Amino acid sequence: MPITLRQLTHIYHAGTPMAQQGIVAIDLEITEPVIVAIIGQTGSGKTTLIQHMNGLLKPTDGSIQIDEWHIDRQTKTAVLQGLYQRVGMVFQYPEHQLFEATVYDDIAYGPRNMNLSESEVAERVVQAMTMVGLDPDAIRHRSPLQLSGGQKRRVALAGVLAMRPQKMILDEPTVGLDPQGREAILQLIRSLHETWQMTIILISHNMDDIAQLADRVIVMKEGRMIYEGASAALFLDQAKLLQFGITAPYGVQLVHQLRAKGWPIEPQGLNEEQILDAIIEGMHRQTDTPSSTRPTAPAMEGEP
Amino acid sequence: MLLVEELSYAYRTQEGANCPALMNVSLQIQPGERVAIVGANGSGKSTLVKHLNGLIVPQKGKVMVDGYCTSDPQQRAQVRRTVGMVFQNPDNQIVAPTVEDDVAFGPENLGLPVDMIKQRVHTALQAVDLLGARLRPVHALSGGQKQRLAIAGALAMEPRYLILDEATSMVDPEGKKEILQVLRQLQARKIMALIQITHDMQEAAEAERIIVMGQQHVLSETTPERLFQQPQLLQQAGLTQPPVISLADRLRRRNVPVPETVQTMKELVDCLCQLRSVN
Repeated sequence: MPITLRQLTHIYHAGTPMAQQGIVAIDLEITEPVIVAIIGQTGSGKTTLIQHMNGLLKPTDGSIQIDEWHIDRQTKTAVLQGLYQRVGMVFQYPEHQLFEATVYDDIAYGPRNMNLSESEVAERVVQAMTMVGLDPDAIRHRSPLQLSGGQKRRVALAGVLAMRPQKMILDEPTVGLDPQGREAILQLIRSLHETWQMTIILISHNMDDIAQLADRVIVMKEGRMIYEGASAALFLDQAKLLQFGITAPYGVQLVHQLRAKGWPIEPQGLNEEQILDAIIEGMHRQTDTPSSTRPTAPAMEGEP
Repeated sequence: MLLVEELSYAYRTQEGANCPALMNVSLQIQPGERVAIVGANGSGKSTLVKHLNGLIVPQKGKVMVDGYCTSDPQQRAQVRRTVGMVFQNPDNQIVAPTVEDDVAFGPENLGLPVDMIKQRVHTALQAVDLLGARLRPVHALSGGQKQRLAIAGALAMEPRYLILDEATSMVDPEGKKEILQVLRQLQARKIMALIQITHDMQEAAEAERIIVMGQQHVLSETTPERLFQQPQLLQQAGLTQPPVISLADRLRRRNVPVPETVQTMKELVDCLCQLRSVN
């Protein structure tokens, strides 16, 4: 069953002089499993939108359907308990919320609140640590405060995974990490999707992250959804990027700039190999020659 | 000039053990310079910059700010006025209920006349594009807007050196570009030095000089051109190549003869077009 939003609206402090529009009349169907990225300027409603997807916020108008949960303004908070577990939420800088004395206790916090037996908690903690690439024996007894930034973030992610969610929402999952830590988190997200068929919904300002990960993209502006579609279709369409004020990932920027110089380039997708293939092919092709006449060949060797 | 001499610093853990954060670090930053500080999480970058405006004072060695010593409590007010600092987490830096009040807080404490305070607040909010939100309650801002606000607060103090510690990480790319453009204009006119801690290698590549931190030391002080052609150093420091240099590298590996001097997107485009025309 797809995640279905119907006229989803959230006004903060509705009915008071402080009333402020969060998101307005969003209609959307997300077919699972998928990796969806949400793009938009600061204050465009991205965080408000995702907080509806695990029941942290209820709509002030319209509705959202996730699995068996139908949520509208009248929905009682009590019925949403199971939803918090089904849809794991990882906030910005989740490592700021690590608070237990050991890595083990921090990851065990969620499962323990589910009233599981201690042996089942232990099994989940070890599994979650393995999933995020932390060695359970090496660091379970260490203080989270002694870990590097990238490791802390993986502990925070493991804490959510230990609740065994089927979907994950991540708000800026790579922000603040050094470049190698960032690569590791991107790989982890990809493997959650590929190995466990998890649906991943993520907010990111990093277009290179999005190009690497996301199948689909949602663009938010001033509380409204102004675009929803395949990520390749958005990033390879220069007119749309300009219209929405989006900076393309670097590889795609190169494609657009070469196109502007008359190169006939049609990448098959957004990953780096596809982009390089298209550029090398464009290099050997004159504008009016069909692509089939000349194979992709690295024929530059020895030339000046 | 910011002068760091043989600086060492260790944090005390809860168990009472010493956890070294900086070991024997020496460096200089000139007025009007644009410097990037890069390195892995936990390499000592933030501890280093907290020394530059006296938030932390050296346990060993010394830090001088335009001749003022950060270790001397008498001189610390002058140090703080000279070096502005904005951190990653804006919630720790916001002190007033509304946007305008928050930016005015610093200049008010300098005892400036009301007109001048208003002027500074206006200019600072304009620089980060928050004028429209100046009467908004601070708690109603998004993460990225709070980061903009924290930068405005620092700018309103008109510092000679502005340090951004991952301070635009939550701002959208277009907004970030606009803010950095304003800050770079101030830097280019030598009104202030711009010192950025960043994990964004493309951003670091645009600095005049790069300080690479690793294992609590300065691993290298170099130019972007030199740094990004040293794969071993990058690996050791937890860094990667900036996207444009990486693209050029991958093209080279597929036998497209892009010269190693290519650093920017424009240079890469020009070079590829030239290669195509001779092809």
